[in-house]
Amino acid sequence: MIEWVHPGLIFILGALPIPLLKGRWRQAYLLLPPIVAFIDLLAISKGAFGTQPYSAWHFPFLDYELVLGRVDMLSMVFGYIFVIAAFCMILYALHVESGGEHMSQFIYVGSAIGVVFAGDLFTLYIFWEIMSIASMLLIWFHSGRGSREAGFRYIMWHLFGGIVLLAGIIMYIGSTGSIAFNAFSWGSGIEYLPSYLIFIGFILNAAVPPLHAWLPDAYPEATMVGGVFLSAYTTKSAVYTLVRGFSGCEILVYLGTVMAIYGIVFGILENDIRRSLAYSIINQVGFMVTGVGLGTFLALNGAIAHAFVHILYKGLLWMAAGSILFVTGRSKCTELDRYHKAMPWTFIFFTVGACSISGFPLFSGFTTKSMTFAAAAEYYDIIWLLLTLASVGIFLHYLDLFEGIKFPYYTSASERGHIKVGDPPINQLLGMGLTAFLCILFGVYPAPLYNLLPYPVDFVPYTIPHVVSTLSQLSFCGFAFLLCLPLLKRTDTISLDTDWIYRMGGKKFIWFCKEPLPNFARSVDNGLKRLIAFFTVFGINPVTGTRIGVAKVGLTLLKPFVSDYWWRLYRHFERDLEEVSRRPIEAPIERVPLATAVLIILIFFVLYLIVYLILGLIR
Amino acid sequence: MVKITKKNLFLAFYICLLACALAELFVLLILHPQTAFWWEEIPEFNAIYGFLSCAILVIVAKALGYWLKKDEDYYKKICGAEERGVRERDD
Repeated sequence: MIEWVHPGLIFILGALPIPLLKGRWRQAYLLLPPIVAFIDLLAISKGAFGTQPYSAWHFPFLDYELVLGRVDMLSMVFGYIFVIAAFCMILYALHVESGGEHMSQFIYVGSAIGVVFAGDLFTLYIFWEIMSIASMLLIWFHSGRGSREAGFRYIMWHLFGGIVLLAGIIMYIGSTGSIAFNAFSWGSGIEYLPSYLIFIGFILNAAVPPLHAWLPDAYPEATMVGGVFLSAYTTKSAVYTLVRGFSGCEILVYLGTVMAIYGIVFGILENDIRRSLAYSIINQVGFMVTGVGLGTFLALNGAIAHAFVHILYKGLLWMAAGSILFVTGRSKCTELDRYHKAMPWTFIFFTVGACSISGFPLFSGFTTKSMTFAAAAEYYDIIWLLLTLASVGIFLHYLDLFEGIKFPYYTSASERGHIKVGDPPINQLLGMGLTAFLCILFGVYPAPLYNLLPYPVDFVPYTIPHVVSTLSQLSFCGFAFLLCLPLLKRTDTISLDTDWIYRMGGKKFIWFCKEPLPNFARSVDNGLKRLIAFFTVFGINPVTGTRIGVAKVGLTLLKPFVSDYWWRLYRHFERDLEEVSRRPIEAPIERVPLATAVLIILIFFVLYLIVYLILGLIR
Repeated sequence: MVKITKKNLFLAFYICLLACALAELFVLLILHPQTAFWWEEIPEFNAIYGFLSCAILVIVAKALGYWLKKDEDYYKKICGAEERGVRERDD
């Protein structure tokens, strides 16, 4: 009797038959693993699986035992949303022909679920790395030079993060002797180095500035469907690991607040819809990271609930952007115009996503994000103000996106002409529709979500003051937006981010390796060669060698002073060098008379005498 | 049936603004909700803060845009001649 089936392995093993199936059969099959995984989640009981010997999930590794399944409230809530989102996204992706892309999606989802259920650090690390590679493939399937390069930069970031994580894990195991993945100790001092390294590995995947540049760089370069998957799993599995390992770690409050504002400001600057949405992920994850840093039950519930619905509405927004890209072949605001009338459903779904993310009452952002805010209000006043600023900013960001893609809030089709494109294929519409339904469901009726949360929920989102204050903030933000509209003109540009440092730095480094470094090496090389040549000549024929040496040094030294006065001396050295270099070095150019030799010997004797006398006097 | 025109939409929007402002005043003066901070006692705080947040973010983004916005092919331009050859071959 198998007591537990790993839902992540259902996806990973479920990826294997994909290349064998074709057409309708494949499409039908693709929907099977998420359904099986969902039933599996409903059926499994809580507990840690893998610790009992002789069970099917017992994997000894080195001196430790791997725990592939640690099932508690926290891992279950992430497990549920990962599987539900996978179903919606796979439905959306059914039309994709490439079997390899489907396999990457399945392995990516499976490994993210594996991270969530990992009960020990080795299992966590293994799934973490599989997730990096599978997500890189989702970027590379969008062929083209831009995607290839972005994929390389992406994987280099994640391999770096993985290595930092692994170093932290090894040091942690060395110092504690345990591989269990629980809350890490935190404080200041060198003894907390393992925790710091693991922390860096986690926040890199959560895209916390300044370790965030991989996200807006790579996600918009992914395939139209790949971006939808990427928006959900990497950052949210990192949020899960932060909740598990570093809840209540105060630095996360500040990092999260910076993220929330950073994402908005850069999102407004962007021209590409999908890049703008990528910055919006940073903003949203910022709220979750803040919640994790606050660490109270309310805040953690808020962060987890926010991650739950964020996966849905951010997935929906990426789906809509992907459909626009699919139908029109464009994703830049400056190139998108007049499409709104032709793709009504896509724009309705986009609006639902935008309302949810902005936290309008009756949409899912409202019922979840406000928990984090209520928790922040208990301890931090400035942080609360900044978070509210960022939260209002989301609405501004999406108004701006609507303006960018010319959503018809005050234009009519007759004014702008008509372009004949239709809504995307039915599977994309169904995928978006299902996600949009869930976004509204958890906004109107959040009780099922609140019941899933790991800590008891004592929070009522729908109170009159809360609804009124939210509506008031949002509507006056809209008013300010209308006034600022002339300032917000979209331009056909990209914005520099911290990736500039390594992209420019990399170029400069390559230039340095190509130009100055070889030149320097060559000059050292030439200098040494000349020195060796001199010693060779000197060794064979000291007289010639000395004359060459003196002539060369004299030429070099006199060169700056060559005037009429020095000209004769300079000519002398030059002639000497010419004369010497004409003869073979073996032939002695002159014989020294015997008397000269005797004189030199005498001089040495005198020098010796002087040195001897001086040394004697000193003593 | 009211026709949906630009003018009517703006009118509706302004009515919404007014309604929000009035509702906020009503909540503060009549319901006396529990507040966490002193500034929430200021009349129309949420409206003012919503407006200011938006304005601040737009201005900050605009200011940053002067430095950070670059041409689409900014990163491509800085490639050397050698790499440009590779790109032409690939595309």
